[in-house]
This record gives sequence, C-alpha cells and structure tokens, in this order.
Amino acid sequence: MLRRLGLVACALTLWLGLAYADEPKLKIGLLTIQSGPYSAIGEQLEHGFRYYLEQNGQKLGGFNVDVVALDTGASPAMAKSKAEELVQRERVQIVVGPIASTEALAIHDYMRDAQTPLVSPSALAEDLTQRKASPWFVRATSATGQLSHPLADYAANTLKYRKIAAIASDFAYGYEIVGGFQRVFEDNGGVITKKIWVPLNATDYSSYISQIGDVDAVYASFSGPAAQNFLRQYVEFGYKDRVPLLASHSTVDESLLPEMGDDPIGVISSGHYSPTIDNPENKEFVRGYRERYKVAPGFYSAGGYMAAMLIDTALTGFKGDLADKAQLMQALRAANIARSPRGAITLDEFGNPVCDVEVRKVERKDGVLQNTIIKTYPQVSQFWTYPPKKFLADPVYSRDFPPLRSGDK
Amino acid sequence: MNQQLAITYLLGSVTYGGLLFLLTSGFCLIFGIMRVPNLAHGSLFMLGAYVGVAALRSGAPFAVALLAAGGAAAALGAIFEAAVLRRVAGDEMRQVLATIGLAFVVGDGILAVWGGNPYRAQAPLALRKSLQLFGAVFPAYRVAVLAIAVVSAALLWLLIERTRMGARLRAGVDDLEMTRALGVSAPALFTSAFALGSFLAGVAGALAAPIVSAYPGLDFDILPLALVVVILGGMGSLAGAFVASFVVGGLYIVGPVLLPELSYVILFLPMAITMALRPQGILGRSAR
Amino acid sequence: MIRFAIVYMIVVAAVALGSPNDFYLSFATRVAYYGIYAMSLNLLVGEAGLMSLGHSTFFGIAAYCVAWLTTHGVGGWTAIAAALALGTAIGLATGAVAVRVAGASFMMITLAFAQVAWGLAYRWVGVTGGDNGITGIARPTLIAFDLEKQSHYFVFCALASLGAILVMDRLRASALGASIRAARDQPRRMSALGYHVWAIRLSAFVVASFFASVAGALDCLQQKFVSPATMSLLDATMVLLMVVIGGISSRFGPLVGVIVVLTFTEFSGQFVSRPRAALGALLLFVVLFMPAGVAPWLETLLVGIKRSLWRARPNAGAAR
Repeated sequence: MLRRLGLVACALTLWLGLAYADEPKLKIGLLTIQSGPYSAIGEQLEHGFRYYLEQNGQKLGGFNVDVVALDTGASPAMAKSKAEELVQRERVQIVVGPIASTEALAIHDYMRDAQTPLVSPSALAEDLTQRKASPWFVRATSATGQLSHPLADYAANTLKYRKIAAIASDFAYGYEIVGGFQRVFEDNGGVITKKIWVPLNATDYSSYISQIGDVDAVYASFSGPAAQNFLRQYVEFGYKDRVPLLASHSTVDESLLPEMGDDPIGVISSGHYSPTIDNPENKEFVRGYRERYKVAPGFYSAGGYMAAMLIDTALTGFKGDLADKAQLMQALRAANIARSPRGAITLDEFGNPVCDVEVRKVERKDGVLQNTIIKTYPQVSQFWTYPPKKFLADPVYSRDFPPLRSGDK
Repeated sequence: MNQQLAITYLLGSVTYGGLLFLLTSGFCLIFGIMRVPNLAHGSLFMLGAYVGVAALRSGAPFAVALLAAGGAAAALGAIFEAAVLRRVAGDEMRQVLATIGLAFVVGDGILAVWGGNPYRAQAPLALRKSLQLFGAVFPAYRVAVLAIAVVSAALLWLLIERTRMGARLRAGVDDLEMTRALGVSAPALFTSAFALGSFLAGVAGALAAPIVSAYPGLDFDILPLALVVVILGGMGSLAGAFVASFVVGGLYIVGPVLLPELSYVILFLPMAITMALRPQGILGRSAR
Repeated sequence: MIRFAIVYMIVVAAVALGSPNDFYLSFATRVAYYGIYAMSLNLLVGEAGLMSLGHSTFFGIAAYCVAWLTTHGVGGWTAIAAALALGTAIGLATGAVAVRVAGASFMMITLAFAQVAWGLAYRWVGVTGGDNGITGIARPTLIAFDLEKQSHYFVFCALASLGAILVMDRLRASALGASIRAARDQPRRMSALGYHVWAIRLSAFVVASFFASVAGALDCLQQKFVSPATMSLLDATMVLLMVVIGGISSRFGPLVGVIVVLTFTEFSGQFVSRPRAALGALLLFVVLFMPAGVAPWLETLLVGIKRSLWRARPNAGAAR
C-alpha cells in the first residue's frame, strides 16, 4: 500500500515538474490556406513564418512558441469559424493571418469583440487600417494604395507619362490599387483615360486589351493565372511593343515569373518586397530560405516572415503577463523594427507599417527573371503625402472612386 | 469602332467559338447518349491541360501532347464510367452526383500532383507569332485552334453519320431499348461514348492551355461556359453546340465592350432567357 | 413528430448547457440553420424530384438583404421580414420559369440563376460591397434573449430550426405533399387526372425558397458577414451534398447529412489533407453503396441494435 502511494507521489511530482518545467509559452494561431486552389500561397506564407521561427529556436521575444495552424480554404466563412476555434478552443494569445483580404474583413469584427490581437501578414484591404480600423489589429504587410501611390509618382515625375489607361481584375483589390495609382497620378498632372475592369473568371483578355486606346502607358493589376494570361495576350495582340506596361506587384509576383517566359520583361512595378532588395538581412533571408525551400521568397513568404519578426520585436523585453492580451496588443502596436529584409519598419497610429516601397523592373539576370530595383521610396505611409484626416474623409477606393476626369466610368 | 478593332473582335469571336466547340462537343456527346450532364467535364478539360503541359515539357511534339492529354482523360473517363456510372445507370440524379464527386476528386488530385502555381504552355514554335490581318494584330495560334475546331466538327460529323459506331451512337440516342434489342451492347456503347467525350475534353484542354494556362480552379471556371453553350444549342445536339459556340464566343468577346456594366452576367442572362423561352435550345429536341 | 421535438429539445439543452466554449456553440448554430437549408432543398430534390443547383440563390439574397438593411438603419426584425419576402418573391419569379422543365434542364436553369445572382453580388459593389462583402452587422434584440451572446443565439436558431422542420414535415405529410410526390413519380398521369403539375412544382419551389431565405437570414446574423462566397458554385453543391449524403427520401435524412458534412468540413482538417477530394470520395461512396443516404442506413442499424438488445433480455421470448 505504501509502495503504491509512493509510486503515485513520484509520478505526480514528475508530472507536475514536467508541466511547470517549461517557461511561459506563447500560443499563436496561424490562419492559413492548406487546401483548394490557393494552397500554394498558403504554403509560402506558412513557410516564411516557420522559417523565422526555426532561425530563432522556435522562440519569439524570447518566449517558447506553440503554433496552431488551421486551414481556411480561402473561404471567409471558414476563416471565421477557424478564428473562433483558435480563440475559444485553442485559447491562443495572438492570431496571425488570414491570407486573403475578404477573409480578414470577415473576421475583423469578431477579433475586435474577442479582444484578441490579429496580425495580418498579407491582407492588403485599405479599410482594415483606415475607415474600419480596430485597436486589435496590426499589419505586417501594407495597405493596397500604399504600394501604388509611389509608382504613380514615378510614372508622372520620372517617366513623364501624361495619359494612362488602367486595366485590372474586377474586384476590391483591383479597385484599390488602381484607385491609389489614379489619385497620385492625377494629382501630379497626369490623366487616367479609362479604367477597364476584367471579370475574375475571364479567360480571354483581347476584348479588354483592345479598349486601351491612345495612351502613354498602361497600368495593369492581375493575380495568379490571370496575370500570366494577361501578359501573354498583351504580347500576342501586339501591345507590348507599342505601349509601355506598368503593373502591380501581384502581376509580376516571384512565384509567377518562372512560368511567364519573356512576356514580363521590361514591366515596371512597385512593391514592398523583392528578393533583390540589397541589405544584409534580406541577402541572408533569401539565401537561407532558398536553401531550405528551394525557391526564392516572395510576397507571401516575406509576409509570414515579417509577421513573425513583428511579434518577436514587439515581445523582446516584454515584462507583462503573457496571458493578458491587451498588454500583448500594446506591445505589438509599439513595435519598431530597425533592420529587416524590408529595411526599417514602424507602425502608424492605425497599426499599419510605414515602410520602404520599391519601384522595380523585370529583367533577366543569369538566365532567371527577377524584379530589379530601380528606385526606392523610403518610409512610405498608407496615406502617401496626404493628411490622414482628409484621406479618411474620402470614400475608400472603389470602382468609381476616384471618378474619371472625363466623366466616363 | 474602327476597322482594326472590328477585325479583332470578329476574329476573337470566331476563334473563341472554335475553342468553345472543342470544349463542348464532348459534353454534348455524353449527354446525347447517356442523358447525363457530365459535371466533371471541366475537370477532364483541366486534366487535359495539365497532361498536355507535362508532355510538352518532357519534349514531346505538340500533336503527341494532344493525344496524351486526350488519352489520359479518355482512360479516366472510361474507368469512371465502368466502375461508377454503370452501377447507377438509369438513376439520372445519382449519375450527376457521381460526376460531381469525380470532379472534386480529380480537382484535388491535380493539385496534389502539380501543386498550386499556374503552368504556362507554349504553342508550337511555328505558331508562336502574331499575324497582321487587315490591320489588326492577332495571334496565329488562335487561328490554328479555329481550324482544328472546324476539322474536328467535320470529323465528328463523319464519325457519327458515316461510321458503324456512329450509327450505333445515333441509334442509342433515338431509341435505346430498340438498339439493345437489336444486339448492341448498352454498356459498351455507354463506355465508348463517355470515353470519346472525355477524350474530346482532354484534347480541348491541351489545346486551350497556351491560351488559358493550366491552373487549379480552371475546371470550375470553364464548366459554366460549357453549360451555357450546351443549353443555348440544345442539350444533346452537336450541331446546336457548333452554332451556339460561335454565338457565345461573340457574346463573350464583344459583350464586355458594348455592355461593360453587365460583364459578370452577360453569359448567364442569355442562358436564363433561353431556358425561359425555348428550353430545348436552338437545335435541341422538344422538352422531355 | 412530438417524439422528434422532445429529442431535439433535449439535444439542444445539452448542447447549450454543456458546450465548453463559443466555438462549439457556433458550430451547433450553423448545424441548426443548415438543417433548415438542407430540409428546404430536400423539398425540391427528394419530394419534387427536382435537382436544384441554385438553391444558394435564395440563401444568399436573404443574407445580403439582412446585411444591407441592418447596416442602413433598419431594425433587425424588419430586415429579416424583408429578406424573407424578397427571397420568396425571387423564388416565385425564378421558379415560375424553372419548373417548366425537369431533369437536367431544371438543374441547368437553376445553376444559371445562381450564377447570375453570384455575378450581381460581385458587380453591384455599391450595394453588396463586392467581394469585400458587408460587415458590421448587429443582431436584433429579443425580449429575454441577448442574441449577441452565442449561447442565446444558438437557442434562438435551434428553436427556429425546429419550427421550420416541423412545418416542412407537416407539408410533406399533407395533401399538397402527396401531390408533389405524385407529380414527381407520375407527372403525366397527374396531368391527365386534372392536376396542374406546374403549379404543384412551383408551390414546392416557393416553399423551398422561403425556408432557404430563413436559413440565409440566420447565417448572416451568425457570421456577421456576407460575401459572394456564400453563393459560389462550391457552396451550392455543398448543401446538395448534405441532402444526398443524409438521404433524400428519408424524413429527417438531410439533418443527418448536415451533421456529417459540417462535422467533416470543420474537423477533418487534422486528419485529411485534401478535404475536397475526401468529400468527393464520400459522395461517390454514398452514391454507389448507400443510395438512400446515411440516415436510412443509420435507422437500419438502430433497429438492428434495438432488436438484438430485445433478444438479449433474460425474459425475452417468454410466452405471454
């Protein structure tokens, strides 16, 4: 009898010892896409995030990290239920994700009600840090317009274009990125002659491309296979030689370049990340990531990586209670990244990064296509040079805003 | 609209119509014989696109890639028909559901094998250029696709009207019981019809790959197009599909230019209107 | 029916009291109104023999209606009423056209309408918010309930679901229900007997669209978000899967289907890396080997268990 008690006591002590032997843990939920057509970008994002953890001994801010990754399948409804699962069932302290803007908008209110920090690695929708800003939200990426404002400046003031036609996928991301471009381009003396919206599931672009008309250049924004098909048809229908092409970062994303042949060569775009960014942190990141995953990092991998870095930076020296999510949120908002693959990053009062945005040109180097940086705009905010109050008083960029000067849509 | 644009639109409509016919001919065949709307048709098309790309990358000439694509789709189709469809023969609803199941499985299967990034297919070298036609610039490959579509239509017509197999298929459509009574094996008929329809879908996918790329999600992007053509033309009628393909091609190319506000609904509104006014389509038989 | 209601209420109480956190309650809430959705689709698929691929149209329209109205100052209950009216009106309009044909043609035309609705949701950005959808939706107030609390909203949905299911079950058992089934089995004979087959089918369609609208309204308030994804082709097939897997000719089969499919999509992530393929395989399996669905199979199982338990009783078989 005594022996049995003794054994139980030992087991109990051992168990208690093990349970409390670990340092306080940080439990992070990752909302990613593991199934369906967008699983490729989900994989990139998760790789970027986990790569950072690996390089840091599975710690962020010095705390051991427990990551719970859940699949949203790119569906806003699933994003919501997985967010609930992370917050309620898994009791995570921070949620990273989700990947798509529509998913982020779907859970935005919920995360605010649940009072849990949400770190977005890739969702660009403007209002997340503008008209629908929430104290429980930070971005490790940018706002859509933040990326196109500088290119418009470059187009008007460096390339001296006066008339540009815009052609983009007919959905929110397209409206926002074209809207941002239009605003700055027209405020610098240019004119957007028309905005051609292409339905998401279009397979033929000729009838849209043919509407371009007489312009100095075209600004295009597409993603995934649409980008691939658009560029090819832009070449096939003879426009590439005649009309210079400016584009959004998604149109010439690193994951697409290998498959595009010579079509994108010469296309000038703007973005906040490229493997060609020349600083020691990025060189190391690209080298290590490539060694680990056999491909260069792109927008989504960098997004995952930067999200991890943001949390790490925020929680380094954190003296508060890990279980108090409000304190974690405060730390996140105060984060200040001095050096990173993207350079220096600080967060504005809405939780959006102020960061460098680069203008790049696609060229072939050593047989491989890359986005070579031709100009860097340092420390760009989501409001460009406009006063935030005035910017926010305007409606969010949409199909009809800013309106075309000529009166057409 | 100036002449250059008009030519571009005309050529665009006609060549797109050709592509649509290649896509839908298989669907029509299967529906005509088996009265099953094959909702996995888009998936077989997508499989053809991927297999075509894979074959081209391993160095095969274009024609061989097309055959490989068609063959892969035909094999899958035949196996599916024999293993699954045959067992639920006669129950239309279950057959359609089975095709949906197949579509899901094939879609994810392709994702598992080839991953999530889109693949580019190159047109054969000789066609990799743009032609100058009446002042408009137009890719040569699309014109070739149109030519192939017309030739396929002719070949299919020959097959159906002038061969024994065709006679059996026609008999099966007209009066299945009588056909069976006359000694034609229904299972063999159905399997060959499904295999042939799948073959056509696979080849169409490989032919379309240089235009639309091979990417996950292609199956459900392309399926609605096939359905629109088939409804407009009449569910079982190949001739109807031929005519409707060009009508839809025109709508698809010119519609967005004339009516940009209606771009998302431009395809389906005519479909809904057709169903409302003339459910059997342009050349279909009277409603059942 | 009373027995069903009692069992249902017991389950609801157990879930409401026993759920460890809101995550499970949310899941249960979705099961509740998806039950309405699936049963309404079964009115078409099982009862009327009309396979609809466009049922999500009414679900989505109702959801958008509630979302838009509540974010534009209209009270919750008025918004819901308006959504139901709109959904049913669209059901009447589209149904009038759709039920003129049957079989594959019916399937296609419902699909066409669903795609039009989806396209409108995408394009009509001023109203629907395009693919960003509508957020900031608040639940209405109900005396004694605080619907913003998930447990309260769950009970509310469960009760609504019970009511809807009972009404649909009543319809099934009624004379109209019988004529719907007869129109499915013997349309020509029914016609010859003087029944207006088109009108009968249309009534089934309208009732189905009404209940789909109910489900859509509840979904909008549950998710507090609506986007075109609700009306995608994939989602439309999901609910069809629920009906088929559950069992189209069994009384409460679709409910079983809802539980199976929702549990699968929600919890399979840990075990299955390819959920869509698994769902496709499940569908193939059910189509091939369980044509009547899972529910009848479960029933037979339960009956078998009951029987063997009966036989195992010590005095079983003793002469009475």
